[in-house]
Amino acid sequence: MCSDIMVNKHFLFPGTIFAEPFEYQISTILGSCIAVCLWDKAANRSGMNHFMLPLWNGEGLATPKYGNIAMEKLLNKVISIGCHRENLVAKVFGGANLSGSGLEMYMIGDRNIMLAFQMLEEYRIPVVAKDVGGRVGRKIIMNTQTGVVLVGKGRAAAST
Amino acid sequence: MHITDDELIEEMSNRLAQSRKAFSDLSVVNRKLLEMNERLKLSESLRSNFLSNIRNEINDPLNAIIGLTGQIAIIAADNEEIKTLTSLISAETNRLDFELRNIFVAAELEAGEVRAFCVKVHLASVLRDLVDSFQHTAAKKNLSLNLTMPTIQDDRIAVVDFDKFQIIVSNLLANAIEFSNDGGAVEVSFSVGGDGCLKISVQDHGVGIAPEDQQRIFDRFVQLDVGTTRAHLGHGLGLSITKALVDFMQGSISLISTPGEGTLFTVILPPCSILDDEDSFSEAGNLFFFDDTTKA
Repeated sequence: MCSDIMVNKHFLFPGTIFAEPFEYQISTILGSCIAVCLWDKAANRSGMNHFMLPLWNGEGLATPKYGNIAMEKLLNKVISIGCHRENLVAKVFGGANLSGSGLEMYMIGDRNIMLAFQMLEEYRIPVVAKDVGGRVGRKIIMNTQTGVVLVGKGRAAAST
Repeated sequence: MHITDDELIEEMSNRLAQSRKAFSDLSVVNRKLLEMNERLKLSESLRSNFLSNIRNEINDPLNAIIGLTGQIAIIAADNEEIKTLTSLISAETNRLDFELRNIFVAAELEAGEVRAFCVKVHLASVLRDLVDSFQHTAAKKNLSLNLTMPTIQDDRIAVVDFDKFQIIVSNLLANAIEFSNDGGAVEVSFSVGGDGCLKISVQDHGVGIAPEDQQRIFDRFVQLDVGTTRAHLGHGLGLSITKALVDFMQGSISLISTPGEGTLFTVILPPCSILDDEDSFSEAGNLFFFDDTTKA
Protein backbone atom coordinates (compact mmCIF):
# COMPACT_ATOMS: atom_id res chain seq x y z
CA MET A 1 0.00 0.00 0.00
CA CYS A 2 2.53 2.56 1.06
CA SER A 3 5.76 0.71 1.06
CA ASP A 4 8.65 2.29 2.88
CA ILE A 5 11.19 0.97 0.43
CA MET A 6 13.16 3.55 -1.47
CA VAL A 7 10.47 6.20 -1.46
CA ASN A 8 11.58 9.71 -0.60
CA LYS A 9 9.65 11.11 2.29
CA HIS A 10 8.61 14.63 3.02
CA PHE A 11 6.88 15.93 6.08
CA LEU A 12 4.75 18.92 5.14
CA PHE A 13 4.78 21.74 7.67
CA PRO A 14 1.85 24.04 8.18
CA GLY A 15 2.09 27.00 5.85
CA THR A 16 4.21 25.22 3.27
CA ILE A 17 3.72 23.62 -0.13
CA PHE A 18 5.38 20.59 -1.65
CA ALA A 19 5.48 19.43 -5.25
CA GLU A 20 8.36 17.61 -6.92
CA PRO A 21 8.45 15.77 -10.24
CA PHE A 22 9.54 12.53 -8.52
CA GLU A 23 7.84 9.96 -6.35
CA TYR A 24 7.52 11.14 -2.79
CA GLN A 25 5.55 10.13 0.23
CA ILE A 26 4.17 13.34 1.72
CA SER A 27 2.72 13.24 5.19
CA THR A 28 1.16 15.94 7.29
CA ILE A 29 -0.92 16.41 10.41
CA LEU A 30 -4.14 18.38 10.32
CA GLY A 31 -6.41 19.89 12.91
CA SER A 32 -8.47 22.79 11.69
CA CYS A 33 -5.97 23.18 8.84
CA ILE A 34 -6.68 21.96 5.34
CA ALA A 35 -4.43 20.03 3.01
CA VAL A 36 -5.37 20.03 -0.65
CA CYS A 37 -3.73 17.49 -2.96
CA LEU A 38 -3.70 18.23 -6.66
CA TRP A 39 -2.93 15.18 -8.76
CA ASP A 40 -2.42 14.89 -12.50
CA LYS A 41 -3.63 11.38 -13.37
CA ALA A 42 -1.89 11.32 -16.73
CA ALA A 43 1.47 12.69 -15.64
CA ASN A 44 1.36 10.80 -12.31
CA ARG A 45 2.58 13.84 -10.48
CA SER A 46 1.07 15.74 -7.63
CA GLY A 47 1.56 18.32 -4.92
CA MET A 48 0.07 19.27 -1.60
CA ASN A 49 -0.44 22.39 0.46
CA HIS A 50 -1.29 22.83 4.13
CA PHE A 51 -2.99 26.05 5.14
CA MET A 52 -4.10 27.29 8.52
CA LEU A 53 -6.40 30.24 7.88
CA PRO A 54 -8.74 31.02 4.98
CA LEU A 55 -7.71 34.46 3.80
CA TRP A 56 -4.61 36.63 3.80
CA ASN A 57 -5.52 39.97 5.29
CA GLY A 58 -3.05 41.93 3.15
CA GLU A 59 -0.76 42.55 6.14
CA GLY A 60 2.14 40.42 7.32
CA LEU A 61 3.95 38.17 4.87
CA ALA A 62 1.85 36.67 2.08
CA THR A 63 2.68 33.09 3.04
CA PRO A 64 0.79 29.91 2.08
CA LYS A 65 -0.39 29.81 5.68
CA TYR A 66 -3.44 31.45 4.15
CA GLY A 67 -5.81 29.46 1.97
CA ASN A 68 -6.22 31.85 -0.92
CA ILE A 69 -2.45 32.12 -1.31
CA ALA A 70 -1.78 28.42 -0.69
CA MET A 71 -4.29 27.34 -3.36
CA GLU A 72 -2.91 29.67 -5.99
CA LYS A 73 0.70 28.78 -5.24
CA LEU A 74 0.00 25.05 -5.22
CA LEU A 75 -1.70 25.26 -8.61
CA ASN A 76 1.24 27.20 -10.07
CA LYS A 77 3.68 24.78 -8.53
CA VAL A 78 2.11 21.57 -9.80
CA ILE A 79 1.90 23.12 -13.25
CA SER A 80 5.58 24.05 -13.02
CA ILE A 81 6.50 20.39 -12.35
CA GLY A 82 4.70 19.27 -15.48
CA CYS A 83 1.09 18.73 -14.48
CA HIS A 84 -1.60 19.77 -16.93
CA ARG A 85 -4.37 21.85 -15.54
CA GLU A 86 -7.11 20.00 -17.38
CA ASN A 87 -5.93 16.64 -15.97
CA LEU A 88 -5.90 17.78 -12.37
CA VAL A 89 -8.14 16.31 -9.73
CA ALA A 90 -8.26 17.39 -6.10
CA LYS A 91 -8.47 15.62 -2.76
CA VAL A 92 -9.32 17.71 0.27
CA PHE A 93 -8.68 16.83 3.93
CA GLY A 94 -8.85 18.49 7.33
CA GLY A 95 -10.87 21.41 8.60
CA ALA A 96 -11.88 19.84 11.90
CA ASN A 97 -13.36 22.05 14.58
CA LEU A 98 -11.29 20.78 17.44
CA SER A 99 -13.01 20.84 20.74
CA GLY A 100 -11.00 22.34 23.53
CA SER A 101 -8.82 24.43 21.28
CA GLY A 102 -10.67 27.57 22.34
CA LEU A 103 -11.06 28.45 18.70
CA GLU A 104 -14.35 26.65 18.06
CA MET A 105 -16.30 29.87 18.05
CA TYR A 106 -14.32 31.18 15.12
CA MET A 107 -15.21 28.07 13.11
CA ILE A 108 -11.79 28.18 11.48
CA GLY A 109 -12.18 24.61 10.25
CA ASP A 110 -15.47 25.33 8.48
CA ARG A 111 -14.19 28.52 6.94
CA ASN A 112 -11.08 26.72 5.70
CA ILE A 113 -13.23 24.00 4.12
CA MET A 114 -15.43 26.57 2.37
CA LEU A 115 -12.43 28.42 1.02
CA ALA A 116 -10.84 25.24 -0.35
CA PHE A 117 -13.99 24.11 -2.19
CA GLN A 118 -14.73 27.61 -3.42
CA MET A 119 -11.32 28.03 -4.97
CA LEU A 120 -11.31 24.54 -6.49
CA GLU A 121 -14.65 25.33 -8.08
CA GLU A 122 -13.24 28.59 -9.40
CA TYR A 123 -10.32 26.69 -10.88
CA ARG A 124 -12.77 24.08 -12.24
CA ILE A 125 -10.79 21.25 -10.65
CA PRO A 126 -13.02 18.31 -9.68
CA VAL A 127 -12.84 17.05 -6.11
CA VAL A 128 -12.56 13.25 -6.29
CA ALA A 129 -12.07 12.54 -2.61
CA LYS A 130 -12.59 14.40 0.61
CA ASP A 131 -12.61 13.86 4.32
CA VAL A 132 -13.31 17.15 6.04
CA GLY A 133 -14.87 18.59 9.17
CA GLY A 134 -15.64 16.65 12.29
CA ARG A 135 -14.04 17.16 15.65
CA VAL A 136 -10.83 15.14 15.49
CA GLY A 137 -7.48 15.66 13.88
CA ARG A 138 -6.13 13.70 10.96
CA LYS A 139 -2.84 12.43 9.68
CA ILE A 140 -2.60 12.04 5.96
CA ILE A 141 -0.02 10.29 3.84
CA MET A 142 0.05 10.69 0.09
CA ASN A 143 2.03 9.02 -2.62
CA THR A 144 2.73 11.69 -5.21
CA GLN A 145 2.94 9.25 -8.09
CA THR A 146 -0.12 7.09 -7.52
CA GLY A 147 -2.14 9.89 -5.94
CA VAL A 148 -3.25 7.48 -3.22
CA VAL A 149 -3.94 9.16 0.10
CA LEU A 150 -4.13 7.42 3.46
CA VAL A 151 -6.04 9.17 6.20
CA GLY A 152 -5.59 8.44 9.88
CA LYS A 153 -8.18 9.77 12.27
CA GLY A 154 -8.97 9.46 15.88
CA ARG A 155 -6.80 11.71 17.92
CA ALA A 156 -7.04 15.48 18.30
CA ALA A 157 -4.01 16.95 16.57
CA ALA A 158 -2.04 19.96 17.64
CA SER A 159 -3.62 23.30 16.93
CA THR A 160 -2.52 23.20 13.32
CA MET B 1 -52.48 63.92 -2.19
CA HIS B 2 -53.81 62.33 -5.30
CA ILE B 3 -51.50 60.72 -7.87
CA THR B 4 -52.68 59.42 -11.17
CA ASP B 5 -51.63 56.02 -12.45
CA ASP B 6 -49.55 57.63 -15.18
CA GLU B 7 -47.63 59.74 -12.67
CA LEU B 8 -47.05 56.70 -10.51
CA ILE B 9 -45.75 54.69 -13.45
CA GLU B 10 -43.50 57.53 -14.52
CA GLU B 11 -42.09 57.93 -11.02
CA MET B 12 -41.50 54.21 -10.77
CA SER B 13 -39.73 54.00 -14.09
CA ASN B 14 -37.60 56.99 -13.08
CA ARG B 15 -36.54 55.24 -9.92
CA LEU B 16 -35.95 52.02 -11.77
CA ALA B 17 -33.71 53.86 -14.24
CA GLN B 18 -31.81 55.39 -11.34
CA SER B 19 -31.19 52.08 -9.66
CA ARG B 20 -30.18 50.56 -13.00
CA LYS B 21 -27.65 53.32 -13.43
CA ALA B 22 -26.34 52.84 -9.90
CA PHE B 23 -26.08 49.12 -10.57
CA SER B 24 -24.16 49.62 -13.78
CA ASP B 25 -21.85 52.10 -12.04
CA LEU B 26 -21.19 49.51 -9.38
CA SER B 27 -20.48 46.86 -11.99
CA VAL B 28 -17.94 49.13 -13.61
CA VAL B 29 -16.25 49.79 -10.26
CA ASN B 30 -16.34 46.11 -9.47
CA ARG B 31 -14.72 45.24 -12.78
CA LYS B 32 -12.01 47.81 -12.21
CA LEU B 33 -11.34 46.38 -8.77
CA LEU B 34 -11.07 42.89 -10.21
CA GLU B 35 -8.60 44.10 -12.82
CA MET B 36 -6.59 45.90 -10.17
CA ASN B 37 -6.61 42.80 -8.01
CA GLU B 38 -5.26 40.71 -10.90
CA ARG B 39 -2.49 43.23 -11.52
CA LEU B 40 -1.55 43.25 -7.83
CA LYS B 41 -1.45 39.46 -7.73
CA LEU B 42 0.76 39.42 -10.79
CA SER B 43 3.23 41.90 -9.38
CA GLU B 44 3.27 40.06 -6.05
CA SER B 45 4.13 36.78 -7.78
CA LEU B 46 6.71 38.39 -10.05
CA ARG B 47 8.39 39.84 -7.00
CA SER B 48 8.67 36.54 -5.15
CA ASN B 49 9.87 34.65 -8.23
CA PHE B 50 12.45 37.34 -8.86
CA LEU B 51 13.81 37.02 -5.33
CA SER B 52 14.24 33.27 -5.42
CA ASN B 53 15.92 33.53 -8.81
CA ILE B 54 18.53 36.11 -7.87
CA ARG B 55 19.45 34.42 -4.61
CA ASN B 56 22.65 32.76 -5.81
CA GLU B 57 23.62 35.65 -8.03
CA ILE B 58 23.81 37.80 -4.92
CA ASN B 59 25.02 35.36 -2.30
CA ASP B 60 28.02 34.02 -4.23
CA PRO B 61 29.80 37.35 -4.75
CA LEU B 62 28.94 38.46 -1.23
CA ASN B 63 30.42 35.28 0.26
CA ALA B 64 33.52 35.84 -1.86
CA ILE B 65 33.88 39.35 -0.46
CA ILE B 66 33.44 38.14 3.12
CA GLY B 67 35.98 35.35 2.61
CA LEU B 68 38.54 37.52 0.85
CA THR B 69 38.27 40.24 3.49
CA GLY B 70 39.13 37.64 6.10
CA GLN B 71 42.17 36.57 4.04
CA ILE B 72 43.41 40.15 3.74
CA ALA B 73 43.03 40.58 7.49
CA ILE B 74 45.20 37.51 8.06
CA ILE B 75 47.86 38.44 5.50
CA ALA B 76 48.18 42.00 6.79
CA ALA B 77 47.79 41.14 10.44
CA ASP B 78 50.51 43.55 11.55
CA ASN B 79 49.30 46.54 9.55
CA GLU B 80 46.96 48.55 11.79
CA GLU B 81 45.54 50.67 8.97
CA ILE B 82 44.57 47.67 6.85
CA LYS B 83 43.20 45.90 9.93
CA THR B 84 40.85 48.80 10.67
CA LEU B 85 39.71 48.89 7.07
CA THR B 86 39.08 45.15 6.88
CA SER B 87 37.12 45.18 10.13
CA LEU B 88 34.97 47.99 8.70
CA ILE B 89 34.42 46.00 5.49
CA SER B 90 33.51 42.94 7.57
CA ALA B 91 31.02 44.90 9.65
CA GLU B 92 29.34 46.33 6.56
CA THR B 93 29.27 43.03 4.67
CA ASN B 94 27.84 41.34 7.75
CA ARG B 95 25.08 43.90 7.82
CA LEU B 96 24.40 43.36 4.14
CA ASP B 97 24.42 39.60 4.70
CA PHE B 98 21.89 39.96 7.53
CA GLU B 99 19.56 42.06 5.39
CA LEU B 100 19.83 39.64 2.47
CA ARG B 101 19.11 36.64 4.67
CA ASN B 102 16.00 38.46 5.82
CA ILE B 103 14.84 39.12 2.30
CA PHE B 104 15.52 35.59 1.12
CA VAL B 105 13.87 33.95 4.09
CA ALA B 106 10.85 36.18 3.45
CA ALA B 107 10.80 34.92 -0.15
CA GLU B 108 11.07 31.31 1.12
CA LEU B 109 8.25 31.82 3.59
CA GLU B 110 6.06 33.34 0.92
CA ALA B 111 6.79 30.54 -1.53
CA GLY B 112 5.93 27.98 1.17
CA GLU B 113 9.35 26.42 0.75
CA VAL B 114 10.73 26.78 4.26
CA ARG B 115 12.14 23.62 5.75
CA ALA B 116 13.03 22.86 9.34
CA PHE B 117 16.59 21.78 10.09
CA CYS B 118 16.94 21.09 13.77
CA VAL B 119 20.39 20.74 15.30
CA LYS B 120 21.72 20.56 18.81
CA VAL B 121 23.49 23.78 19.69
CA HIS B 122 25.21 25.33 22.63
CA LEU B 123 22.81 28.22 23.04
CA ALA B 124 25.12 30.35 25.11
CA SER B 125 27.85 30.49 22.49
CA VAL B 126 25.39 30.95 19.65
CA LEU B 127 23.79 33.89 21.42
CA ARG B 128 27.17 35.32 22.40
CA ASP B 129 28.28 35.23 18.75
CA LEU B 130 25.05 36.88 17.69
CA VAL B 131 25.35 39.61 20.29
CA ASP B 132 29.00 40.13 19.32
CA SER B 133 28.10 40.58 15.68
CA PHE B 134 25.95 43.54 16.71
CA GLN B 135 28.55 45.15 18.98
CA HIS B 136 29.84 47.24 16.11
CA THR B 137 26.38 48.70 15.39
CA ALA B 138 25.69 49.17 19.08
CA ALA B 139 28.99 50.97 19.60
CA LYS B 140 27.91 53.67 17.17
CA LYS B 141 25.16 54.60 19.62
CA ASN B 142 27.22 53.92 22.75
CA LEU B 143 24.86 51.11 23.65
CA SER B 144 25.81 48.25 25.86
CA LEU B 145 24.52 44.83 24.88
CA ASN B 146 24.14 42.50 27.86
CA LEU B 147 23.54 38.78 27.64
CA THR B 148 22.17 37.02 30.69
CA MET B 149 22.61 33.25 30.84
CA PRO B 150 20.80 30.69 32.92
CA THR B 151 23.04 29.48 35.71
CA ILE B 152 22.51 25.75 35.18
CA GLN B 153 24.78 24.39 32.46
CA ASP B 154 22.18 22.00 31.06
CA ASP B 155 19.92 24.87 30.15
CA ARG B 156 22.41 26.16 27.68
CA ILE B 157 22.06 23.27 25.27
CA ALA B 158 19.00 23.07 23.08
CA VAL B 159 17.81 21.55 19.86
CA VAL B 160 16.76 24.37 17.56
CA ASP B 161 16.48 25.27 13.94
CA PHE B 162 19.74 27.16 14.02
CA ASP B 163 19.33 29.36 10.94
CA LYS B 164 15.83 30.47 11.80
CA PHE B 165 16.74 31.00 15.42
CA GLN B 166 19.60 33.24 14.30
CA ILE B 167 17.36 35.30 12.05
CA ILE B 168 14.75 35.73 14.78
CA VAL B 169 17.24 36.88 17.40
CA SER B 170 19.15 39.08 14.93
CA ASN B 171 15.98 40.88 13.98
CA LEU B 172 14.98 41.46 17.58
CA LEU B 173 18.47 42.73 18.35
CA ALA B 174 18.66 44.98 15.30
CA ASN B 175 15.27 46.35 16.20
CA ALA B 176 16.19 46.97 19.84
CA ILE B 177 19.40 48.74 18.83
CA GLU B 178 17.68 50.85 16.19
CA PHE B 179 15.03 52.09 18.58
CA SER B 180 17.25 52.59 21.62
CA ASN B 181 18.36 56.01 22.76
CA ASP B 182 22.07 56.80 22.65
CA GLY B 183 24.01 55.50 25.62
CA GLY B 184 21.35 53.04 26.76
CA ALA B 185 21.43 49.30 27.19
CA VAL B 186 19.86 46.30 25.51
CA GLU B 187 19.40 43.13 27.54
CA VAL B 188 19.14 39.68 26.03
CA SER B 189 18.23 36.68 28.15
CA PHE B 190 17.18 33.12 27.50
CA SER B 191 16.02 30.03 29.34
CA VAL B 192 14.88 26.52 28.56
CA GLY B 193 11.73 25.53 30.42
CA GLY B 194 10.92 22.12 31.89
CA ASP B 195 8.66 21.41 28.93
CA GLY B 196 11.57 21.98 26.57
CA CYS B 197 10.30 25.37 25.43
CA LEU B 198 12.98 27.89 24.64
CA LYS B 199 12.34 31.43 25.77
CA ILE B 200 14.33 34.41 24.50
CA SER B 201 13.75 37.95 25.68
CA VAL B 202 15.16 41.17 24.27
CA GLN B 203 14.61 44.30 26.31
CA ASP B 204 15.42 47.82 25.16
CA HIS B 205 14.99 51.15 26.90
CA GLY B 206 14.16 53.16 23.82
CA VAL B 207 11.18 54.92 22.33
CA GLY B 208 8.61 52.20 23.07
CA ILE B 209 5.45 51.41 21.11
CA ALA B 210 2.00 52.88 21.76
CA PRO B 211 -0.68 50.26 22.58
CA GLU B 212 -2.63 50.97 19.37
CA ASP B 213 0.45 50.24 17.26
CA GLN B 214 1.53 47.06 19.03
CA GLN B 215 -0.09 44.64 16.60
CA ARG B 216 0.60 46.71 13.51
CA ILE B 217 4.38 46.46 13.92
CA PHE B 218 4.25 42.84 12.69
CA ASP B 219 2.81 43.90 9.34
CA ARG B 220 5.26 44.10 6.50
CA PHE B 221 6.83 47.38 5.46
CA VAL B 222 5.35 49.11 8.51
CA GLN B 223 7.49 51.56 10.36
CA LEU B 224 5.73 53.76 12.77
CA ASP B 225 7.24 57.01 11.54
CA VAL B 226 7.01 57.21 7.78
CA GLY B 227 8.11 59.72 5.17
CA THR B 228 11.44 60.85 3.83
CA THR B 229 12.54 62.36 7.12
CA ARG B 230 11.96 59.27 9.19
CA ALA B 231 14.56 58.82 11.87
CA HIS B 232 15.05 55.06 11.65
CA LEU B 233 16.83 52.76 9.25
CA GLY B 234 15.53 49.50 7.87
CA HIS B 235 12.91 48.25 5.46
CA GLY B 236 10.17 47.38 7.92
CA LEU B 237 10.40 43.69 7.06
CA GLY B 238 12.28 42.48 10.13
CA LEU B 239 9.43 42.01 12.57
CA SER B 240 7.03 40.58 9.98
CA ILE B 241 9.67 37.98 9.10
CA THR B 242 10.29 37.28 12.77
CA LYS B 243 6.57 36.76 13.32
CA ALA B 244 6.21 34.49 10.28
CA LEU B 245 9.24 32.41 11.36
CA VAL B 246 7.96 32.09 14.92
CA ASP B 247 4.58 31.03 13.51
CA PHE B 248 6.29 28.47 11.30
CA MET B 249 8.11 27.04 14.32
CA GLN B 250 4.76 26.99 16.13
CA GLY B 251 6.02 29.36 18.78
CA SER B 252 4.71 32.67 20.00
CA ILE B 253 5.96 36.23 20.12
CA SER B 254 4.70 38.86 22.52
CA LEU B 255 5.68 42.33 23.60
CA ILE B 256 5.28 44.57 26.58
CA SER B 257 5.94 48.20 25.84
CA THR B 258 5.51 51.60 27.40
CA PRO B 259 6.06 54.62 25.14
CA GLY B 260 9.17 56.46 26.23
CA GLU B 261 10.40 53.63 28.44
CA GLY B 262 11.20 50.79 26.09
CA THR B 263 9.99 47.47 24.82
CA LEU B 264 10.38 43.87 25.90
CA PHE B 265 10.01 41.27 23.17
CA THR B 266 9.61 37.66 24.24
CA VAL B 267 9.77 34.73 21.87
CA ILE B 268 8.81 31.24 23.01
CA LEU B 269 9.74 28.32 20.77
CA PRO B 270 8.44 24.81 21.42
CA PRO B 271 10.93 21.92 21.33
CA CYS B 272 12.04 21.07 17.82
CA SER B 273 10.62 17.57 18.14
CA ILE B 274 7.18 19.06 17.44
CA LEU B 275 8.42 20.19 14.05
CA ASP B 276 10.53 17.18 13.36
CA ASP B 277 8.49 14.26 14.45
CA GLU B 278 6.50 12.83 11.62
CA ASP B 279 5.64 9.77 13.66
CA SER B 280 3.92 11.75 16.38
CA PHE B 281 0.66 10.42 15.01
CA SER B 282 1.64 6.79 14.94
CA GLU B 283 -1.18 5.84 17.28
CA ALA B 284 -3.65 7.67 15.08
CA GLY B 285 -6.57 5.27 14.80
CA ASN B 286 -7.51 3.55 11.59
CA LEU B 287 -6.10 4.43 8.25
CA PHE B 288 -8.75 5.02 5.65
CA PHE B 289 -7.96 4.36 2.06
CA PHE B 290 -8.59 7.17 -0.37
CA ASP B 291 -7.78 6.46 -3.96
CA ASP B 292 -9.07 7.67 -7.22
CA THR B 293 -12.19 5.55 -7.11
CA THR B 294 -13.42 6.94 -3.81
CA LYS B 295 -16.50 9.01 -4.41
CA ALA B 296 -16.44 12.59 -3.21
